Amino acid sequence: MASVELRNIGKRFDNGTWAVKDIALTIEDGELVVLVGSSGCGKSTLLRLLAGLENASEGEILIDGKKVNQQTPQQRNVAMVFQNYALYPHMTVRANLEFPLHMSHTAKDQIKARVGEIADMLQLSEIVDRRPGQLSGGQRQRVAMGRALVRDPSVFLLDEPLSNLDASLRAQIRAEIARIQKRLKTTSLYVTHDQVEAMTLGDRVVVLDHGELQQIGTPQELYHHPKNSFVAKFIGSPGMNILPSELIDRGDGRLGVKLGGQQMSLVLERQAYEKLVPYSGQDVYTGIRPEAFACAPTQASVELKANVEAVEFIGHETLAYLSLPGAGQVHADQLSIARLPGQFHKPNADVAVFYIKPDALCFFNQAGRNILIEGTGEQ
Amino acid sequence: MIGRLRVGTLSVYLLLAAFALAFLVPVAMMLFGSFKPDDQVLVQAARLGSLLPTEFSWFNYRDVFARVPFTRYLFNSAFISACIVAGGLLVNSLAAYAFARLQWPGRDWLLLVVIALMIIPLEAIAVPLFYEVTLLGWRDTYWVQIIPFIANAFSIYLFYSFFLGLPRELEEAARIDGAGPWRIFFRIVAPNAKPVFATVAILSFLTQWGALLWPLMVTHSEAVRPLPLGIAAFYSLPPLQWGDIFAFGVMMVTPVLLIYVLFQRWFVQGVATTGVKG
Repeated sequence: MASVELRNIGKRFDNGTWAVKDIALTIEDGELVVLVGSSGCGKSTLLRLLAGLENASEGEILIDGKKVNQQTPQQRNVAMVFQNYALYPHMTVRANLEFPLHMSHTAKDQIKARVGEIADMLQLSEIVDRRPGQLSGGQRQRVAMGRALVRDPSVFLLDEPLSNLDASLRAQIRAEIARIQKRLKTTSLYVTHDQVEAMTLGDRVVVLDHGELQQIGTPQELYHHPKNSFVAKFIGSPGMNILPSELIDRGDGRLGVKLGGQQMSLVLERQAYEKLVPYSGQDVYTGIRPEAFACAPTQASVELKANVEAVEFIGHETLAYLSLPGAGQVHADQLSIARLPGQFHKPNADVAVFYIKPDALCFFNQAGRNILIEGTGEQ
Repeated sequence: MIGRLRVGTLSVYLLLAAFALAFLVPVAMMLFGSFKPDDQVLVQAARLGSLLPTEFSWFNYRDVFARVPFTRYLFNSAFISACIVAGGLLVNSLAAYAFARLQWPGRDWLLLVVIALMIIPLEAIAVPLFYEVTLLGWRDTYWVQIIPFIANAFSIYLFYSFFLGLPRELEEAARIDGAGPWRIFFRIVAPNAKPVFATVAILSFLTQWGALLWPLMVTHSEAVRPLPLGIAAFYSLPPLQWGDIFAFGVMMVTPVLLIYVLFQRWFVQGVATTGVKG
């Protein structure tokens, strides 16, 4: 077990483009941190830098306070689960599990004991004499985990380990990974493009975009206080609606938000009000979570009228696709989405009324930064 | 419509059968001729109907062993081919791996050179090569027939393209598990590249088994003479007996056929694919 620290890590490819840039990140001993971002954002590169499969162009990697930039993966004592598992096809499950121990010259009786232990823990005992080609996807996944865990690594790296599994198996194995990680308390870095996986698994989540770190925080922090509009849209399913709007100072802690042809009048706490006031009269972006829409008024909620363009009934909830009268979208082809509990019927009238709690709103400046948390030093 | 289709199919098959016959007749003639008494070989060759021998005899085979040191030729060919195949598999696969996976300065340029070397036939460099081995004092030895043919551009290219298709993650997983480049090659890459090893083995074996020009240039004693040179010399050894020559031919071809049949499955796989499924 170990802590991991990345100090201003950057990786530039031969063609001059930066895969990741200026990444600073600390993973505490025993913590599970999830790296999330869309494909090509550099998350796998960062994992490979930590594994020692690629060399960093700049910055320092420290494991347990020791600089490991020049060390081989084995010297770093990291283990990795690959997206396609990378099991050795010509070896049995047992031989796959034994391989890392053979490489570290472990004594034979110890190898036998350790492999037995891991096989029991991951329920592989029945299949140890089979080859990877004879296993199901879930079994292969467990063998890959076993091979990574068998030599008791300091750091456990997982590169999209669930993306080759079908949906039902994915949830099951996700829970298993969480259980094993909690039990072994191995410092882990988990890469995924799936924000649901990130939110459910991570002690903390790191959001990357175009090789740059967008935000580090607990799932709750990312959800409620996204640092910028990228994180706001990326986290949540569906992500936050980002609408161009204008702020109008009404005095006395009251602020008007002009959204297309309508205006919401918000009564804000002093701190929030003071941060937003300097932007009055300016174009900003208002972020509304799909879950923040309600069909009935609650205490302090404000009205928002919208055209319901389409509804999707998913069983326990309904997604309503909305357009605001007289307002454009950040992307013209993307309607706002409201996530409503139970069954919601498309109203006969053109315009439906929704209710929103002011404290569920986020405001982003033209650069996409969250005005409410900017300057607080929070990451 | 159906009638026309049938006529079309039939004529295609007839054409194919004619081609097959044209290729098979010489082989059949060699095989059956080797069992015929010498006076019948040419007489009966005039009529296709009398291709089969009227009486089987091993006389020609005995004759070959009596007239030339066939076992010596066979051993020489087998030894030379085996050394070239074994050495070639090792050297060319390692070279190809270095081209496919390792990072070193000048790699891409050298790969171009290797690929360009494939188009240079032995005949073009035979004389300078002859000069070189003469200077080295290697003439009339086994080594002169082995060393120049171990490194082979085409084999390197075959290995190279196969290795490119292997999933890189396998090697990365082995690196993380603590294996160095040698161990990765011998424990992970090579076992997953059996089809291409088989393909290269068969192709280089076939080439060497039939090699004539180079042994003709560099050997003169029977002690190191391989089979193709043996059969060429056998032609000019009076009296000219076709039955004996056929028997020699059959015995020369059989080992190649056996090897092909044994490794045929891998051979086809190696030619058809350049990757393995995980």
